[in-house]
Amino acid sequence: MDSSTDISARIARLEGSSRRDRLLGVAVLALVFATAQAPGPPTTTATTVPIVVRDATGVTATLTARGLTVRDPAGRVRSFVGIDEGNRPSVDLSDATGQLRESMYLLNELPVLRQFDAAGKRRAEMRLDATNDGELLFSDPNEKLRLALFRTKGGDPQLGLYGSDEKLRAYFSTDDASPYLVMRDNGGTNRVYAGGYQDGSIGIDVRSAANVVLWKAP
Amino acid sequence: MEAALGSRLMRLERSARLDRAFFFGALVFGLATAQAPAPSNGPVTIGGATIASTGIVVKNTAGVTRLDLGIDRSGYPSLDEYDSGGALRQSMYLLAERPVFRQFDAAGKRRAELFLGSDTQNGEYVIRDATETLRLAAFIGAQGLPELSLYGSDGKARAYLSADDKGAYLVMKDANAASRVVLGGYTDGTFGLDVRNAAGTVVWKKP
Repeated sequence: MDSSTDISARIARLEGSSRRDRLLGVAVLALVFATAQAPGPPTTTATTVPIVVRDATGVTATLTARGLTVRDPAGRVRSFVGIDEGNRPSVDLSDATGQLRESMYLLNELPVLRQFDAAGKRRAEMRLDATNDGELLFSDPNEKLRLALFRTKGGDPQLGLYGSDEKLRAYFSTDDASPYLVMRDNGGTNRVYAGGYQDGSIGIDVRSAANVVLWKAP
Repeated sequence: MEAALGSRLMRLERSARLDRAFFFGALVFGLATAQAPAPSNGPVTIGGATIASTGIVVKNTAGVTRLDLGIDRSGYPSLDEYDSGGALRQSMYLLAERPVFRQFDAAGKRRAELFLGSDTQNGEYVIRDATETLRLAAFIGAQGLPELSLYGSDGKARAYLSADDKGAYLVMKDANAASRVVLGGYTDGTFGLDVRNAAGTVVWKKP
């Protein structure tokens, strides 16, 4: 009888345990149902977790809330499109050393395409200036401006060539009356003037370093 | 008493079998639907956009690639834009680590280009005709001098305006590449203007 009572007590414990386990199982299943995700392409559901796609070579693409970043097998960023650290929309291309070499972005809300040399210096740039006029600018390894295509403050189109001191040596421009070409020496003096003069005439003259006209025609 | 115990045991055994089946079913369901949010090894596709390890490709509804950003087949970073026929029309990329921005016509010819030179890393902007012959270039040359050059349909310079620190000069050439007009600063430091014949002989000079 004692043995039967003992067995009965053990069975009772087992029955209680079984009920608890079943209850727990139902709860877990309910949780799985509630959180299950159907396999397949993701939808537009927002996620705070970056999506990382990696291949066997170690190249990775990472999509975050800021944009898409592609890294080479060494982990260096080579391409980026999105909103940069300055909160500007940007496309950035970097070389194998990680140096930014080409960037197209909005700088102070103005569009810019910039090309950098291996030392990170700005060497070529196409942009809209503060008045939304187009510009093409070339700079030397010291980032000194040497060539510019742009519109003047008066709205005239102009080509400017600059010395290593970043001062104008020649400019070719036009207003509505006539075009003009001006050449300067390193002292900033006009030495050659060809085209339309301010008085409306058109001609050409050569001047000395003292800005004295040496020859003029017609 | 024994009959009662036996009955309870049978219920327990049946219940255990049910619980086991229930557990395995839940496990299978969980495994089948479980997803790790990141990282992912395979490409991710959202409509016409596919993110692979090398970047993103966006196709139109006809399945034609219109935009491709990432690392290209040569291993260089690039942004490529294609027309509705699938022809590459605009590309911003690093060609052998050299920044290039290139525009192509519908025939796939390079027509406009902004880049840094492979040797000097100086900036250049060039315009080419439909045969890809150079017709206009603005650049900083190998000597570090800024220059605007105009070219004939043979790709040879017809005129160039350049400047060094001493001054500027404009040179006009004929079809045989002989300088026929020189205006501006000469190498001796003077400024002037001369006209030359086809043999390169000065026929008129001022001052």
